Amino acid sequence: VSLAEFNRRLAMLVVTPEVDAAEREAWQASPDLTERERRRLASIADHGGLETARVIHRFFRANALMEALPLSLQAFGPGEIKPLLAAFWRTHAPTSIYNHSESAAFAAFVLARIEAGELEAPLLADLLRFELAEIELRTGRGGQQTRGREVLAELEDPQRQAPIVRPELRVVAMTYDPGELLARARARQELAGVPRRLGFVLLRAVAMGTVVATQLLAQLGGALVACDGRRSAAAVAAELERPVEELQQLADAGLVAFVELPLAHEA
Amino acid sequence: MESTSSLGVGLVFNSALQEFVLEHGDVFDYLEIMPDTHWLEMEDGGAVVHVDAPDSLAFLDGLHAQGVRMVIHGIGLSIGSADPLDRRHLAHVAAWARRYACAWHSDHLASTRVVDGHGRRLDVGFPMAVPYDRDVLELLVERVAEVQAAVPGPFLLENNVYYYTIPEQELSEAAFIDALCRRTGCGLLLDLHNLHVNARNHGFDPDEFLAALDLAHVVEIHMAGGIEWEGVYLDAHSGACPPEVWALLEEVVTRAPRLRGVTFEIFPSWYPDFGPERLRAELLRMRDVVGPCGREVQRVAG
Repeated sequence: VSLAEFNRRLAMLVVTPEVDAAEREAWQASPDLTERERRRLASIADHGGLETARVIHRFFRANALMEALPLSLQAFGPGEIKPLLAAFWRTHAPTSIYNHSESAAFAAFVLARIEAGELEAPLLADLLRFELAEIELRTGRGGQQTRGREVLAELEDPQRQAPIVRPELRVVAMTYDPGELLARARARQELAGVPRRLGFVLLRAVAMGTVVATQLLAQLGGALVACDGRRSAAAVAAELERPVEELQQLADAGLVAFVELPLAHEA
Repeated sequence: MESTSSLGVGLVFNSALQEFVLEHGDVFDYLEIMPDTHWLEMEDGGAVVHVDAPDSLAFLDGLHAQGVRMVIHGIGLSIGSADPLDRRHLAHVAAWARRYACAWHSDHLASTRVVDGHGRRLDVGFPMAVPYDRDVLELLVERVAEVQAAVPGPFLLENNVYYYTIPEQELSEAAFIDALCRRTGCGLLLDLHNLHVNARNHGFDPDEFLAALDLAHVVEIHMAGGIEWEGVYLDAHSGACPPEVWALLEEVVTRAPRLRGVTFEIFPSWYPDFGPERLRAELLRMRDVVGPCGREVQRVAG
């Protein structure tokens, strides 16, 4: 028991940026520490090597995030990520730094900052939403399912995260041309200049840990409104002047539903 | 057990080395794989589970099918924690040991994870040295036995790098390692760069450490390079081994009768700058030093 408490206190020394008086008092008050362990903690807290250990911890933690969010990282401005990491780490304990739970939490944390207007970064928001949805699918993280008009309601708010259509699907609305933005981010090219054009990406978990992204038709919003579930695919296609196959893609994804009625009845 | 194989020079595998591994198989005898880095954390009915990343698994399966030998080096065991060992983690490592017929598996003589006061897991992300005390030794003897029972093949523990010191320890590091190996039968993965880093930062003679250590426990050696940062020498796995580490290797290989492999480590973020030619050169130099020392080892049944 004593070693467990010592290890826990030592880990806290490494993962927190500084040792405050309250922490030192907590060592003295803890009935689970021996006198020798209290002296050890005090000695380590005053040892110059502790700061090195902290730097290494932060390096590994940041590195794991960078590997998990490679596209979003292209969109951070100079010096922008460091204060965000520091703020995130102040409120999020490192529960599993090599796994995607931390990466997803960081992406959601930055998106919340953008949504609150604390950070003006629309390109970053697009990429974070895309990668967050990808992580959720790769790691099987569930959530409340939405369909049709609910999806549209969520997509109309560009700050919202990707609505969950089915457990294995996400639709991500992007305010910049999705194809060009993702291609440039993947190639580590300059992102400035990507045209601002609303688009949608369908992410699909095709096997455990494998996610495929497909760009959806640009008129997705209009299609979601038109597909009220009471008309046939052919009728809606005619109204939107789109091929039936495109609408079928939405139906296959579970976004919309059609009633197969003869055209004559609808008229 | 399968037929015996000789192991000599190895390379710690990471995603940045995929191309190198495919193109330069002539300069290493085995790969050291880190299973934890190829696992995805998934949610399954509210529980967190780890599953193999399919792309990693496909790549490693391909290498295995081509006859590339592998050993396991984990980072997530946290054998130095006082909390119960993660049995699912052990079972997963065991599955990898069988899948790739690994000659041995290893992890760090350290604590990397703890459970905090709220029951949450805290992951420090790098191995923290344990206090070298007798009660810690007793705890580790039990935990090593648990690992040995759960995972097939010889189990090795790696001596740690440390940047702060723990005062009032009852045993020296060498005495602690010796006692642990002697009582459990586990082998030592002697990281010579860790030794060099500790000696340089804390001002002791690495030869004295080696003199105090029973080198008969050494089964594997780690080699790496580091960097100077704000007056501290870091175990950065950043490239070429420093001359002092080569000197230590030359000294140890002649005195470690059970030595089976010498493995080079480089972090993926440093590899693009280091490049394939210099990596080849390091591995070839290692082979020059240890080549005559390759001995027979038993492989774990696949």
